Amino acid sequence: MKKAIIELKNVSLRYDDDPENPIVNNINLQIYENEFVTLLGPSGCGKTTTLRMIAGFQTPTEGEVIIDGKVFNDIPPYARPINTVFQRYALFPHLNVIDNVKIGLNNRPLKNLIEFFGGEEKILNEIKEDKLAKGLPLEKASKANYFEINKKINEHIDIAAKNALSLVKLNGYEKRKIDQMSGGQQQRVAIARAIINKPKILLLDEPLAALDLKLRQNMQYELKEMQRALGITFIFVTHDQEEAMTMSDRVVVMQDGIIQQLGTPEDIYNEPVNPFVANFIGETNIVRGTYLHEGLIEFLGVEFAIQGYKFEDGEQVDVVIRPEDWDVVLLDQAKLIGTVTSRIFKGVHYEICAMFGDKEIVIHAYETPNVGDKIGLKVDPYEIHLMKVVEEEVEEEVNE
Amino acid sequence: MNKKFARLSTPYLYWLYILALFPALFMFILMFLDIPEGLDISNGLKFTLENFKQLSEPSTLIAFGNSFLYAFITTILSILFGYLVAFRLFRSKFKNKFLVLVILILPMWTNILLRTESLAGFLNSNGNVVLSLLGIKSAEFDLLGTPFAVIFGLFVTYVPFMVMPIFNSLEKIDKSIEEAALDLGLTETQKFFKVILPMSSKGIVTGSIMVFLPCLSGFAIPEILGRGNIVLIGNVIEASFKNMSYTIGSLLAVIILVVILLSIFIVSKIDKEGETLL
Ligand SMILES: Nc1ncnc2c1ncn2[C@@H]1O[C@H](COP(=O)(O)OP(=O)(O)O)[C@@H](O)[C@H]1O
Ligand SMILES: [Mg+2]
Repeated sequence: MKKAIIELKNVSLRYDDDPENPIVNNINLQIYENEFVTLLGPSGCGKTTTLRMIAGFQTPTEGEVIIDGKVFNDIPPYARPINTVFQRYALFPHLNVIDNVKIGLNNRPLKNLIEFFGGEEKILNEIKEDKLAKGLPLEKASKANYFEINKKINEHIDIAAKNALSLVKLNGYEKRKIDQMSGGQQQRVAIARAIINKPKILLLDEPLAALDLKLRQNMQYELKEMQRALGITFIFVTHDQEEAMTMSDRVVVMQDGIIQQLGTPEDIYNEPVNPFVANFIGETNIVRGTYLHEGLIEFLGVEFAIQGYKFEDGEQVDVVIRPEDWDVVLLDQAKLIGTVTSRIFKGVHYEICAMFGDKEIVIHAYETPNVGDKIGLKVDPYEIHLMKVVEEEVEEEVNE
Repeated sequence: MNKKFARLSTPYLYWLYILALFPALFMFILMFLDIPEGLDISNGLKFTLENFKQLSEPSTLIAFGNSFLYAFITTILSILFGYLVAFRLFRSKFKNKFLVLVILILPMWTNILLRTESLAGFLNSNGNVVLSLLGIKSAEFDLLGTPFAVIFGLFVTYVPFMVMPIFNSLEKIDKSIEEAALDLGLTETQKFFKVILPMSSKGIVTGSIMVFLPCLSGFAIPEILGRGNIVLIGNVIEASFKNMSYTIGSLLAVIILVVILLSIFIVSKIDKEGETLL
């Protein structure tokens, strides 16, 4: 059984000026140790707010933030085993790179630091070894005063800072000023500054949003590696579904402060629970259909075999088929026949749009039908995903 | 700037040359001239370094010492008080902070002599409204002519110059920087001393110079509130020109000018973008 390191229980956040519309609405979420979890959703959906409640910058209006089994609602940020990489880095411009990285450790009480670097016994032992190496007699070497301990701790902090910088590949930049670093480098400083404190949980708020594509892809890979190597739980926020897909163990899809779906990237891609998730996670086709009985569905006027969904017989459902899941076949073998309306080359495949009755379907394929040609499609039963029709949409249709 | 507008400013630049640069240059020459009392220059002009002897006169030294001391004390008081006000304003949830700043600067738009005179009336036991209301009539409460009165006057007059730049530098600190400090484990106190104070230090430097310089060179406030008991270098310069000893006056004025230029140079080094100024 995996251990939950963070648990959000019925967490909501409302602002006084608009208590009717919570920014975060009754969220329930468990995050496990060493997990890479991504909060994914369009801008303004409450991702940053959720992160800020975990970090302690905002207190939930309702519900509980539980860390390591304890309720943390009223514990200030500095007392939480959490560090954050901020959306716009928030580095300290008056400090150079290495001082930015060290600031967390430099401001801890000595007692705390001694524990952090392995306990009193270990530190005293190290001081003793140092002194013996210098040729001091054993009697003198076994005693250490406050200043010697302080000096030893500072040595440890120096080493830790150097290590953190080399982990983000910034060796040699120690004395640089922050405003002399590029966006990508500042990004790395922000990460080093957070991980040097060995947090149990690292929160990253759209850390790659400001980087260009190439750098972003590199950093995605490096962050993932870092998370594996450090064994820290990462909670990552992004509005980029591709980023979420490539990096995460689990993805939390949010909209309007509500968790829409929670699952592995594969689950979310292949089996979206509603049209919002289906549309947000990559391109897709959603068609209204009728669930005839177990194993059989009808849409676009044709019956298809399906696998593994259970609805009421005769119920209206939304059918989701990814563009790449269609098979383009000869017309006499096709279940659906439509007319091609456009064809765009996408590098590896073609993106073909075709009309089937009054419904447009997007297909990714290697075939090259011309505009105006007939195209025949087939789809395997396991590629057909069904979603319950969202109530309000049914009403809308009735009204129309 | 737009070239067209730059050209519009040309006449002003010429006036600036005529009204500021030319007199300064003139004073610079005057301080090396030997002009006897009575301004009798019928024997022609002679260059001399004689005037510099005045600098070792005890009266001049005391005046310089006083100037630096009073300017220094006023600056320190202004830093302490100005930072508190600026920080309080920065932290307040008040929407119209600009209004508060305007109220703070408002007195600066009245004539400094009028303001100082009314302050004098306030510090004088004779006619002091506050004392009258309290029913105190003792002459012991006559503060006019004391160092306290002068420092009080300087402080009240120039403290707005401290509040503005400090407030401006505080306003530039991003909220997320403060959150980052807390996130990294700094307590509120540590956050203030390790992050907020250093990040607003530019404002303190700018403000200090803007308070220190007028205190150093002014003469109206010590004249009126010090009742002649406290002589600052500004008073000596004023007196020199009044007594037609132009060479000495010029010498002292040029020294003050150099101090001022040096300070402006320092500010421009520390605050390159001028971001703490309005
Ligand atoms: N102080 C505030 N008062 C009222 N609404 C706010 C405040 N701060 C943020 N919001 C609103 O909360 C919503 C969610 O914001 P946020 O969590 O930053 O979204 P995301 O990070 O997903 O883009 C936004 O619509 C924003 O307008
Ligand atoms: Mg955000």
